[in-house]
Amino acid sequence: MKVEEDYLDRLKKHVHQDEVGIEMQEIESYISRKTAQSSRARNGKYAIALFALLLLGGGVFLMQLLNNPKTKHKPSTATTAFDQTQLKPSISQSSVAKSAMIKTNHEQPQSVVLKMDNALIKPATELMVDLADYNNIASPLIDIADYENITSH
Amino acid sequence: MEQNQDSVQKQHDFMVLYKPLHNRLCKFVHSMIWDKEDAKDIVNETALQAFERFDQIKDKEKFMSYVFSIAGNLAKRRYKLQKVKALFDWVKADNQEAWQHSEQTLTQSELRKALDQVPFKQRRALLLFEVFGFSYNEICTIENCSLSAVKTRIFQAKTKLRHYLANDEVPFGQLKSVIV
Repeated sequence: MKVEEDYLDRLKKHVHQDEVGIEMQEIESYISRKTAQSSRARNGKYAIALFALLLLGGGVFLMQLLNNPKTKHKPSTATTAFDQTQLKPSISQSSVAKSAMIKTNHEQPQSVVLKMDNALIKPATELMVDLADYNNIASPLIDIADYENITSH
Repeated sequence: MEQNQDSVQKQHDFMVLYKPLHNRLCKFVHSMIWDKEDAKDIVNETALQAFERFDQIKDKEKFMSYVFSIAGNLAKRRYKLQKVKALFDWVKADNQEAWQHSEQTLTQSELRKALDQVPFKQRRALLLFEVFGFSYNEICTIENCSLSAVKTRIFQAKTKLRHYLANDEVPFGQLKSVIV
């Protein structure tokens, strides 16, 4: 008999005699336990996914609500804000700017125009033009009521 | 409720097929890694993996091959881990010497020493064929390789064993006397 065959015979005998000691019940309970665990883990994952989905849905709904033109808050426009009886409708931003330039004798009236852009949203009586940067003006604020005086120059 | 009943039925069907294989599977795993605790882990894990994919097995006749295939792969992974672990496990090596005097431990360690000379794939094929009595075709399915590959693996495993046993420092005759 070859040496390796002899060895294999003894190995076979040893393996079949040796008891590993794993019971069938252990396997059954292990499978049951693990199946229950994975089921619980799966349910937990579903719950987390559902919660995340709800959060996302709520976020999207809020975004749509805020961007909806019907519900969106709009500042009043110039035509509604200006008191037409007090202001001449012919006064445009450019003419005001030109007037301011004449009044202040300054070469850069752009900032005045910008201020007017902001001022347009205010009611006519409160409309003030900030000209603090212009050195030639004694008072930093000009009441919009003086527009007529400015344009008359 | 229905889902629970399905799960119970599935487990019952699985156990009917698994039960006849259990002993052989335990011994197969143990003969590859030679550690009862590790063998227990692997058998548990094999059963669980087979159970989880039980629905996917269309041909239930191949269940045995499927289970042994899973066990073989898990055992290979554990064996590699054991080898790495053994490099750092000085304490265990010292302890082993202390209880190595018993006859059974000596038999097992000598048998294992010889089997460790054979690469894992060849060892697996050799054990399946020589020790557990699987046919070549069954081993083909378990190992997922061709018939010629299986034959080659078994032949090479035997050659390596013969070479080791013939050139071993402790002659196999002496080992035989210890085993008997």
